[in-house]
Amino acid sequence: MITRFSKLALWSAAIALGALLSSCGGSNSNRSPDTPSTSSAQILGIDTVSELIEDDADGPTVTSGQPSTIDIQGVDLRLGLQVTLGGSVCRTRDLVKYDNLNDDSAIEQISADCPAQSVGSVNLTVTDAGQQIYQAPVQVISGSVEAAHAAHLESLRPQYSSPHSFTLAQRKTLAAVASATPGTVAGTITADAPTIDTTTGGLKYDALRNFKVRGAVVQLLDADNGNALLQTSATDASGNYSFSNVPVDNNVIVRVSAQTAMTRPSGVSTGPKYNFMVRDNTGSGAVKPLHTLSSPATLTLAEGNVMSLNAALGFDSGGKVSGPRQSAPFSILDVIYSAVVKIQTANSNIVLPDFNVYWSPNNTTTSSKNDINLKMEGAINTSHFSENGNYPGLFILGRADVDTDEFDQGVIGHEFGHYLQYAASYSDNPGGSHSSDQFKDASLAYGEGFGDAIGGLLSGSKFYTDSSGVLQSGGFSEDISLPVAARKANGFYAENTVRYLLYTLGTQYGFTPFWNTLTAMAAGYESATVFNFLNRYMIRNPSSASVVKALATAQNIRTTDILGALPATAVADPAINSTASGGAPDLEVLYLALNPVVASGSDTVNVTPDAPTFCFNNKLRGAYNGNGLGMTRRFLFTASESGWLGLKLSRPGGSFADGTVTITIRDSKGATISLYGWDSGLGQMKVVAGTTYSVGVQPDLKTITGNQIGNKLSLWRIES
Amino acid sequence: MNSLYGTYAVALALGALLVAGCDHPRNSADPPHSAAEDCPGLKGLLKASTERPVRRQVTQESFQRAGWQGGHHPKGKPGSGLALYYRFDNDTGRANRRVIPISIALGDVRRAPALVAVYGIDGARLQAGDDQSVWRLQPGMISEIGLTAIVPASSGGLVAATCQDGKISMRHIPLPGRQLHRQRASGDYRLDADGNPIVDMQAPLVSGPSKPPAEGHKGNNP
Repeated sequence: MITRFSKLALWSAAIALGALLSSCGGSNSNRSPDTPSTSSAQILGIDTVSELIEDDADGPTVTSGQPSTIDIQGVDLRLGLQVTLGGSVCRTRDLVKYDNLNDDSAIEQISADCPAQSVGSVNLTVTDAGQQIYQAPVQVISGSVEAAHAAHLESLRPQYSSPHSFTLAQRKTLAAVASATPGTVAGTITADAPTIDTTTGGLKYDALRNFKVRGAVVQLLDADNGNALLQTSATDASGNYSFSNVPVDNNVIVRVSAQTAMTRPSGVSTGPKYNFMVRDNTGSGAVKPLHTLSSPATLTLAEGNVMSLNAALGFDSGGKVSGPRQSAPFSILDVIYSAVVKIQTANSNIVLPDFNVYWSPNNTTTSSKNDINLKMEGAINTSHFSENGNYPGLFILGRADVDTDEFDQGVIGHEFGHYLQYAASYSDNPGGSHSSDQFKDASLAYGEGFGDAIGGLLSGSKFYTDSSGVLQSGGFSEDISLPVAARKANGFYAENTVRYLLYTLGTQYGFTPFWNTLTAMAAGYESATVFNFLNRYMIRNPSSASVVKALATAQNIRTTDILGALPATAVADPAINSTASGGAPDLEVLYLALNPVVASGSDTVNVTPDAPTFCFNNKLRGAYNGNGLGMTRRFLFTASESGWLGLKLSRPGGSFADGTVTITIRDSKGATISLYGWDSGLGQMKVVAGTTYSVGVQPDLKTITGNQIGNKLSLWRIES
Repeated sequence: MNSLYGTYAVALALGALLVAGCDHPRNSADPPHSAAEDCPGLKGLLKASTERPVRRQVTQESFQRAGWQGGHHPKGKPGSGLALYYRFDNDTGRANRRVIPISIALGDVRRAPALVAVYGIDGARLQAGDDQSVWRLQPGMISEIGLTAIVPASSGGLVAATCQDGKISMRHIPLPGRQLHRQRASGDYRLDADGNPIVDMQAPLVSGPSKPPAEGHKGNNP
């Protein structure tokens, strides 16, 4: 007979046991260790130009007589795939997530360093376990691919003619020219937009605003001569443009492009340099069409000509599509213009890589699954920044009655912020699904919080709004100047914590220290985290140190050490401690130290026999899809010898197979270090004695169920 | 004895659930909120909303993905954070079928209130009762709802709006056999004089000119 009391005791014990069984200590992965990947790799495409504007969409091309690198995109890739070009063996390296757009998309990318080829057409082949799974032709040309690409980029940059100059400051002097002056064509370019309900985030089409199209490229075309280009200029900060020395009694067209660019005249090495273009990804052809607004052909008069244009909204007062949505690309461009103007206040010689924004009325929230080409039909999933593939760039939603983002400045600013982090700073954001009130990897929380913060700083609005739904009448709006509410995730792992801290600093101390901190993060081996930002911010703005520390403490950022190291006496954060996480005791330890020793002999040998064990954890809220807190673990080591080091990741009873772990390596100068294939482990890297390296390790979610303790990353000196 | 073991098994499961990291619904003592109050951004969709119970609930762990499409909301802008899976039921592959049953499963609900509403676009609509409905989702569970779409032959899709923590995400679900409805481009696709592709959007002058184009001018819009 069991008494009521003893029954209660048994219940309690059972509940406690249940909790324990689901913890890191009691539940190892249910996958068999050391199980090689059973799924075969599938190749989706290849890419030979790794820059943000690509020109090889018609087919991959490499330069003859010199080694080349070819990126290979696919599913279930691993460094152990055999790649050949023209029959010569290539060396594979760097397994990375391609886009990680959705659960039903798992596209990855590896790079292949291939030997020099002779002019002609050669085949690239990929072989998996002895079976050829892919073959594609690659053109080998005699000229330099790099030079051709540079020439292509140059052709996309406007060649400004008088009176436009190459600095924004001088642009402003063009204001108030929109009046008829002999020998000129001048005017003002404007566009219509709905206003935003900052309570609901919805768009209000019965209360329009008219905005100036600023910093846009303007061309004067000769309509009497096949629309040949006569002159190129740009609108100023008031939307005005002007062309002088215009022929009289000539039919001309004024064409405004959704393009803002700063170029440096030949021989000039100062001044800003960038080129941003808004294109339609759903247009046909390899190069996607640039959005432009054109006037009718107009006869020029001796007394001067005023040719002003307005880009129409294309929606009626109820939010229903009523015509061409001309103003959308210029609304997107306006956010970017505001951004670069602000950036130039911090650095007047800023150089940013040329870049495409893709917007189309067809861009909708349908998943592109594993078909890269579906993105070019509008299935972009969501507004996002992508640095990979034949069409890297910013993809912005435009599908009416589903989700339009062209007037959501916070969304555009957020995604442009990701581009800035990629182009001017450093990002090891693992990507993937995210939301506020989740416990995310420190670099994801930083990246997304940073995106919100810089979006607000660049657009000058404290509201992050996102409209959607039927007639764009729904959505949401958040005031990013407010601290995280009680009971919500709040700490280095929460994107809303990061956005509040960064936005507050950016508004309190101005944009320049913010920008200088951001660009300083391009150097060093440290991950892009809130610790890294705050630490560098205080160095660049010492007078802010006490405020920064107080702000951080109030938001549960418990240290401003650049590595996030806590004092030994610190009590664990109750939100992520062992109890909260189901048994992971080390989630506040951002970096684990490896101490490689000098090995004798020349055999392949483990040089980190004392490597610590650690836990992978996906039990906390938001850790479900591989980017949660505890799913990426970071390591630091200083190389004891120069040469090749192998990386192995083991777990109780076995190890992680090639292709199941994504690795990010950085050296003390901030350079990304490649990981090449190695048949004995995850890969091998080349190191220099005395240099410190950070290694980020993220296992594929498929290999982790629940929490898993007893993992160990070891370094192996590879037989010379 | 067996029932005692059963009781312990339930307790074990409860213990595991308690540490699984989800928060709990709003205190039952709180006054009930309408869907529009819980998620103001859905107001535009829910002119006359009816709250309906979900068809079934399973734990995250017991949810079988086979046969379902979709998943977590993708990388990119912030949103509801909910995972959305969908499956076309009784799919016989007939391209012209006008009535399509669909199941939608939603997961990764962290805290109440979390809601979903669905509507048709491009000519598709939901059968009476499914439209203007909203479903409330429970934390820690996968909730499944069933809908019937009535669609024209050539195009049509559904849009699911999910809401959590006040944030909304939209998922456009194309229906089987239906292409994504092509929207009107913002201009004409052309090549400029240098052969570069452009979307040529034509706009009238909003100032001047004092003279119309010369008659018989040689210009051709590219």
